[in-house]
Amino acid sequence: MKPINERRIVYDILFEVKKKNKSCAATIDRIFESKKCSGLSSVSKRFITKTAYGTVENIILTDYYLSKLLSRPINKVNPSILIILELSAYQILCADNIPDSAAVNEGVKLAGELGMDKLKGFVNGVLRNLIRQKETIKLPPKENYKDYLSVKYSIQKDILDIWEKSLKQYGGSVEKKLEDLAKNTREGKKIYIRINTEKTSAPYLEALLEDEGAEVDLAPKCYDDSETGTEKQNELESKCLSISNFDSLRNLESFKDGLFYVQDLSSILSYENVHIGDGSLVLDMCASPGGKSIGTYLNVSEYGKCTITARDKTKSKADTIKENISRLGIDGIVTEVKDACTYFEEDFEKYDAVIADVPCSGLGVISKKPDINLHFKKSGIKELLDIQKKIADNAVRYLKPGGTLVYSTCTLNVEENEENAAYILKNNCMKLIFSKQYLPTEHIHTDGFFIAIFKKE
Amino acid sequence: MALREIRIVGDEILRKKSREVKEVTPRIKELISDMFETLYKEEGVGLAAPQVGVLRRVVVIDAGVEEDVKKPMVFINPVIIEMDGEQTGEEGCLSVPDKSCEVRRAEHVVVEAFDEDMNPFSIDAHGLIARCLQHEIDHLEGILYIDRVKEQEAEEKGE
Repeated sequence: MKPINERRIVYDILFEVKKKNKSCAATIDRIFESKKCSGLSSVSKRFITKTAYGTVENIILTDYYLSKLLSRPINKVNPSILIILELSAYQILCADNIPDSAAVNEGVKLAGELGMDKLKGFVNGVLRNLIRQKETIKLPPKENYKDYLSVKYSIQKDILDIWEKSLKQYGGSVEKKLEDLAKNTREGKKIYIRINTEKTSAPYLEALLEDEGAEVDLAPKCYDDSETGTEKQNELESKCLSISNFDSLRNLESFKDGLFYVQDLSSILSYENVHIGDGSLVLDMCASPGGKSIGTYLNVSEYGKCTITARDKTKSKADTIKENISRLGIDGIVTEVKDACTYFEEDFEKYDAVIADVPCSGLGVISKKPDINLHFKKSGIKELLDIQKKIADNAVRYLKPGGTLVYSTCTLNVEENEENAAYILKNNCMKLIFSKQYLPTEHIHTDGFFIAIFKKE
Repeated sequence: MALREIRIVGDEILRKKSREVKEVTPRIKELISDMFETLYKEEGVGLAAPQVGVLRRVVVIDAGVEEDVKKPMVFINPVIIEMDGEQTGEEGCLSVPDKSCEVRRAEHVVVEAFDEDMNPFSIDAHGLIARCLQHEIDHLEGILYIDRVKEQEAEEKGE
């Protein structure tokens, strides 16, 4: 019996991600759950996941090399063959432990398996040329530093432009910061969890996770330049851990028992600046999958109780929130299906706090979701800005005078962040309390994240 | 030690029933070691003697993929004495190149066989090993997994 061809599964994943605009994570989950993967070992699954992510992360780089070797434009290559070339080129150029010959042979085999026997010779020729010429092909010169960075770290140039504009606001040498940011997308990110302090405590959960075979770290020392400038570590230590070396998070008993929620440090940290009073009525407008609601609820629980309405626009999104809050066993959050862009008269000045964690371009989380870089289109920003402004307008209207508005995104884009914050301030009643762009390069291991907190007078 | 040529679907020998091994002769020992060499070269998880053109009831399996270490297993005159449960998963075969299909198999089998020194043993296998044993033992009867796929498709249509 022949084992399942792992690269064929990688191909299937890449095809879906590229052609159907899907995310890597969701596609891999779906394909691993299908029957064809039922016999896969965990070693195979790790190889497949690593190769699929690696190919997506390096696609601009591999296309750059391939285009130097092809006699016709790369977009004229049969799309299936291009995927085979990209995944093989990734193995040749970027993966350490795969011999070049194996990458070529498997690529050629894959073309055969996909019924393209006639193109086996073409695949073989291009990949053998790549092996021969990879040392002589030069990256764009460093003087054109955005071209250079774009190829070297496989980040779309349009994204680099947007990041550059954002970094410029804070002064200093932008070139260096931009390179750090691009480089950072390649560094493994830690997974942080928000401890369900209603059910457990940090030391107890830490021991439990270690018993389950995961590696656990305390939250790193974080300084926050909010009013006090105090070190947040002590507070964070009681609510946040980072974990690694686990096979499947969902299979951990402590996960199933709802003892924690996966949430990035930037999110946990920034919401430390949100102060919501005991007994508050809170609205989370774009709540799925529920992290901001859950984090806020747990934060308030330290001194009181609040009631949160967690809203999102589709039933499946609302169901995801429901699933998470029921797993955590939290009863102070109710879900509903309502589009944040639509104004609901009955909500006028109803809430003490409104959370608007708006849909965004996601340019702060590329290291975890490389498909964002793959699918990004500059032309899509305008539509996002319209949505964000509509949501912000509604948020302001839903707030009681004296209430708190939290506007946040997981992106690094002046238009979506600082300019939208300025847009909110055009309402004379709104006063800015705190705003911060979290950079993955400044706060170790966080995502790029923006938060602005306002008070309505 | 030598590599042996893999017989490809269409070859009559794959359709014949294999004979029992009465004694482990030096030739059988050589066959087993060649089968492993061929299995590793072709990156298979299991191989039956008829696939290298020898109509003897000999199967080799190495599904030690979990820890990335070799776990060679030899089955002489294997017989499935128990099977239950159900698993559906993708199978391929070194004798059927460039193809793979979903096949329904028992999830659990108990197989009795003899080892290289003709000592009897039995194995209680689940999942991948159970699937592989069923696949290889079929070869000894002249059955290929694509026959099972056809059977199962016909069954489904009949339902």
